[in-house]
Amino acid sequence: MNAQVLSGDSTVAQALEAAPEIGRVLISRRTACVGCYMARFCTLRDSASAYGLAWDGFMSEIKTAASNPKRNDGDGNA
Amino acid sequence: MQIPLANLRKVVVFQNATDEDLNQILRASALRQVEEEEYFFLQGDRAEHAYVLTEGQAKLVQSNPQGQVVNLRTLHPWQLFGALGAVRSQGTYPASAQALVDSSALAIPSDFLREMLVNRPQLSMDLMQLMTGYIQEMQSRYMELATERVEQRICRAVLRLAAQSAEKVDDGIELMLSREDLAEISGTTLYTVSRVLADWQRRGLVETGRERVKVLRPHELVRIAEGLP
Repeated sequence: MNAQVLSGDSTVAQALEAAPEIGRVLISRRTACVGCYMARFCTLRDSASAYGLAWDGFMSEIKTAASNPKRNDGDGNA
Repeated sequence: MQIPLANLRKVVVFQNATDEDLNQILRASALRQVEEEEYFFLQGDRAEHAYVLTEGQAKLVQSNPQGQVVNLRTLHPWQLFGALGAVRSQGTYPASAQALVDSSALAIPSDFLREMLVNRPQLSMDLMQLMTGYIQEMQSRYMELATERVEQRICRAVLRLAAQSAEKVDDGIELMLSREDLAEISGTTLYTVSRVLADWQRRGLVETGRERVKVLRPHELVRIAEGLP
């Protein structure tokens, strides 16, 4: 899955695979989604609902994190 | 000793005692003052006195040989504690009594109290009322400890298996799993697995069928397994 097409119907596992950066959002929002056994079944919308997170703000943070990867895979100038 | 009889009668065991009996108890007893963090008695000491807390706050703690400590109860004024010696003449205290703040307690000689109990059925009945209350409290705490831990184990097993082999269906997550398998995986009995699954079904967390479990509210199971608030 492309990080640009993340939506409320994406599962947590799909979202983390497409954009590992969103793990930071899930952790900072104090969810237990990263490493959760249910990650391949629960959608991002399920997660927001389970933890009582306002959907718009949560998804906006997810998309921002996904579009600003901070991967440590080189110096980026090559 | 300046303890009004009306206060002494707040002690459950003495609620029906006569003034004469209470005066006898006061004459036979001594007031002990203990500073914060010091002890009225230690676990394993001969239970030579029963105590009535008259001021302050204390706790009863029990420790095992490995040094692990369990807080059994917190004591407030006009509660009787350490009364085991009044029933068993050679008994030792099963726990230590430690003052949480500077505290005072009336120390009643166990032998004296035992002689009173023998001749006063009402006093014995009131002591039994206190003891049966403690037993009931301990039984419900034991129940919580035993069931909560096993529920967590069963829950983790269900989640682990779901992650490995479950399928998403319309209204939940379905996995093929017999109760016998679940009991074996989670190290408990078939009876306990059935009881826990029945409770989850009643709460709408799962739906169970023949050799299958459908998880309806996965996050609730995660909460149980992980001890989340």
